[in-house]
Amino acid sequence: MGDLEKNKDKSIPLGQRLLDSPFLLLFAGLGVMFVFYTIWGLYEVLSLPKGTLP
Amino acid sequence: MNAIADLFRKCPVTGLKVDKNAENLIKANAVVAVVFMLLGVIAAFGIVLTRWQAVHLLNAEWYYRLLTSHGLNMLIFFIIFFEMAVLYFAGPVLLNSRLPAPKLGWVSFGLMMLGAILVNVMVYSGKADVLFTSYPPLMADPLYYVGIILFAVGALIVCMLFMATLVAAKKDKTYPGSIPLVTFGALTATIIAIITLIHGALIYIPTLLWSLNLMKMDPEIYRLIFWALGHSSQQINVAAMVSIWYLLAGLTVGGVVLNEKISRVAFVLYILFISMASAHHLLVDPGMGSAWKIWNTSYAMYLAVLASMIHGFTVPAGIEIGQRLKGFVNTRFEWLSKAPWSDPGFSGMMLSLVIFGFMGGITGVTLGTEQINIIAHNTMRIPGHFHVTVVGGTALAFMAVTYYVLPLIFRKRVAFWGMAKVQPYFFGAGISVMAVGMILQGMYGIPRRHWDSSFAGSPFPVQFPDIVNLFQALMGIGGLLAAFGAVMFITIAVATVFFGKEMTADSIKNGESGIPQGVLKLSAQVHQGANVAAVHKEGAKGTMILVFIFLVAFILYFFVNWKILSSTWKVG
Repeated sequence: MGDLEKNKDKSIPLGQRLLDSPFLLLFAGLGVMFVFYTIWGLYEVLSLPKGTLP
Repeated sequence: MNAIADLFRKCPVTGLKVDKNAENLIKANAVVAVVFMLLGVIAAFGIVLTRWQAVHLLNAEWYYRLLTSHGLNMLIFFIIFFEMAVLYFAGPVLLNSRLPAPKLGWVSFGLMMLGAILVNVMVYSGKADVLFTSYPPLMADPLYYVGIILFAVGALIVCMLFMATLVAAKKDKTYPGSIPLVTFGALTATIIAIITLIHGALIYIPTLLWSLNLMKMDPEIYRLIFWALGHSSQQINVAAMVSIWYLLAGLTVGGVVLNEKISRVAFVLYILFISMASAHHLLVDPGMGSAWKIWNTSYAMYLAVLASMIHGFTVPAGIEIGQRLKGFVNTRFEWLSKAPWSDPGFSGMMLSLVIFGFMGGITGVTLGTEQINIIAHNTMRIPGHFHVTVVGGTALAFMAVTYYVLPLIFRKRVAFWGMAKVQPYFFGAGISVMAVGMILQGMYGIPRRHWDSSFAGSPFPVQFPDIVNLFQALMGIGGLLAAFGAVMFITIAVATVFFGKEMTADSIKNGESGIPQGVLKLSAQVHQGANVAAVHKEGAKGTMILVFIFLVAFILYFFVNWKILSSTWKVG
């Protein structure tokens, strides 16, 4: 990458660079869903005490 | 050099460079989507005429079989095949790029076809009467689960191809600056699809092993992971639908994007939070704690709902500004009254937006409230809600964009043009009336899915007020109207693709029938001139009035439900 292109990249605001990163967005989406829904949900189910017959 | 040039054609209307491999994959996926829609519509006739108790057409066995077929063909096969077409359009076509590994695109298409056919064969041979949800201990033939897995793997490959297209287009510098907003929306749909399909693999591979008697299955874990597939797959629709709203707003009336940053951030909120809505389906499951339920069903403090409201504002406001820039400034709503309502691309998009926002959005957020859910869970209010999001919203948006895909991609004039002009109104009105009938039945406790709402022969008599019969008739009439609207669409699409007349430069020049006004004359987005400063100063006040009507309707519906809850479940 030439100096000109490096400077051009630096001139792009951070927010836009984040929005222009498809793989970062992919991993963020996967991370949030797995942490809050899937893993937390599995913990809820697996930590239930076993039901006992009366 | 010639070989590379042969890979592309230049669209005479939009000026876009179209990769022929991508174009063929768009055509194949769109045509197959319509075929699976037809299967879903045939099943819909049987279902609506059975749930309408006065008709009660089918026996229980065939009712549940068609309900399984309807759910899979509509919610999975039709919608996802169409979304694959959207990805091939929003990737290579909008980015002026080549499609990397087109052969892989055909492999994925083959896998999806094989999976979808296998599932339908299993369902119609009576080996998979398990409904869309296939909750254990209901067990289907192992080949049914194999079919779903094959379909999901195929769809996952298309998502990877879309990501690869982004990389290739950036490397080849085929577009200036950031990717277009519509492509960003498609990227959002792709990411949600990857989240969805990974969960699909996590649940369907163990379910296949369970059906082969190789392992045990915990029904609660199944429900948890299944809904990360079952509900999230519908969030792919939301992102794809919103992208189509932006696309059609630009194509039909030269609508502008009010603020790129805000629209993109709203899409990111979808990526981060919308899939959590899967937890709605577990709101009455005793195994899950309140903290998990509330955090997830509020989509992390309603940030994804905020995103939908942002899009619901920016799309019509962009249309208002676009129309005002063209000179429709005389009254508060001239931009709306003089919009091209006879263009099915425009009318379908606007109806989709209104039905999704006013009916689907308001009912969805209300049903997703933990306390209110207790009076609505597993009643007809739920299918009432999702028929105005997935069908009145997504399917109608897909129909609307088809009226532009046919001339721009298939290069055919739309057949039965007179019928096409009214089709979105038939379909939109039908699905709305049906959903109202369903929601009103649900408010009286009529259960969803059930074959016989009279509960004849049950150990305990179940009585519903007579007015429920009226609501069932409303659902039946609306459902038939919507099904006829869908048949009109399928007839138009099939007649155009296989028997339609070619669209040529001369037919555009002569303004011949079957070409939407946005294709006859692509709307210019006006950014300069004497009118521009005045329009920008005026803003989108018409849309603001509509927004306040929406908010009042939202507040009224939400608090009426709290009132119903308080009178149903008296505390103290």
